[in-house]
Amino acid sequence: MTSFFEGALRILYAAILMGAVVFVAVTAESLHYKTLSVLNKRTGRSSARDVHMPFGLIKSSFARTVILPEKACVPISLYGPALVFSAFLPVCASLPFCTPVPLLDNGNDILQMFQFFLTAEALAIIAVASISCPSAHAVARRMAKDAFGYMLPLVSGFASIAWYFNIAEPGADPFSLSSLSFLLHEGVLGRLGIVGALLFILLIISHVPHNGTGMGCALFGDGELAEYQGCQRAVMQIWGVLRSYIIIALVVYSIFPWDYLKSQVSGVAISWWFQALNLLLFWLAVVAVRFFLAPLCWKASGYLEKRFSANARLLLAFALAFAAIALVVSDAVRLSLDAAAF
Amino acid sequence: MSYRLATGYFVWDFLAWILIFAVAAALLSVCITLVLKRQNGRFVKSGTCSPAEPDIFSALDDKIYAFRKDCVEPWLDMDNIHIIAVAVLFFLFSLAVFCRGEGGGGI
Repeated sequence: MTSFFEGALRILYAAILMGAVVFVAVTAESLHYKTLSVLNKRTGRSSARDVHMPFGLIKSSFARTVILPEKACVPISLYGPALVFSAFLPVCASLPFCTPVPLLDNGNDILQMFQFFLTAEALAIIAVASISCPSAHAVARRMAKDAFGYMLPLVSGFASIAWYFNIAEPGADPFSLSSLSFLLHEGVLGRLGIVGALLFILLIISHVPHNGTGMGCALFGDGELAEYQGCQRAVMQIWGVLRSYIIIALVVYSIFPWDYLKSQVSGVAISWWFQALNLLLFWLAVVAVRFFLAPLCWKASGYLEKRFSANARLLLAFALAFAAIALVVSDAVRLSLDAAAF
Repeated sequence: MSYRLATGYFVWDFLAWILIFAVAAALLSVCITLVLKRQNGRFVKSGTCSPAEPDIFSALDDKIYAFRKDCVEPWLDMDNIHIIAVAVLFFLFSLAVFCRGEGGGGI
């Protein structure tokens, strides 16, 4: 009986924290829009279309009448978003920064996370395509390309760094977020590896799914898919915002100075307030990256995209990912040769 | 029936995955149903569909389609493709078995 209550409390605690993470993501995104709106007013720019508050939109979406196009496949377009959001929740449940007590055992496993990322993406594309409008099909195609865009650097980055880790620390789990964090903190990476890891970080952040016009993370832009309204749209918007914040959080987790913070309060490292402080600082760092670094990366990649044709853009994405892999792998080869010479 | 896959490195708890997914999906579906009930269980049908914005990737899509049509489909349409596919898989399997390294990620 006691173990049952313990388990229930653990799940409740984790659910509250996951809810808090969703709240932080949506509130931070709203704050970002609000700041943009104030800045635009001050500078006299009248780009009102680009500045909307997802928080307000989400709130009004739940109160708004549910509207679906006539041709839509009703069960999927209505209840599909619920499945999308639910398929993404295990990612939150497996991350130590969403739930300090992860619901899933050995929650740091990167492979496990990618499965849920992929499942949620596939379900989301099906849900949007089921709206059966030309504009919905265009959005579904854009979503597929966005998913490919962020998955390519994320998967290649984690895989090549895992390979490096396998050489540096044989026997440990290379596909764990903690291993990745260890590698970037302990000074194991050489210069080439650090440059490769930095390139991966910039590539991943520049490919975080966002709405091109307003530079926001909401899935649908303001006025986009006007024939699809209501609470199901709000669920999709929340998922879009949460997905982008989780991708940024994955990157921030690997470079966040956990060890430095721990060394500052040695002796009380496991106290509840230290864990809470850690979590707070971590999410502040995620929000800071979203506010300052991500828009810079998006602008830089947007500038590059304008200068190249569609084919060249795809080639550029592959070339940059390949360059980052080559840098990390060549550093791993150096490490391996050093070990052999020793 | 085992709901956990545990290796030396990771543990995948399938039961927890299913529980989290099912509970969250059920809760959200109930929310959507409640919102629908507020409007007498019916949604408004929108007769109009907004036109698609011009797709900047369409040229690339055409090329991918052309690649599939010209390079992939002739292979798939071959008579003995199933035998060739099995042979290729067997070859790759043999390659993986006989050319295996010593492990540990060494080069």
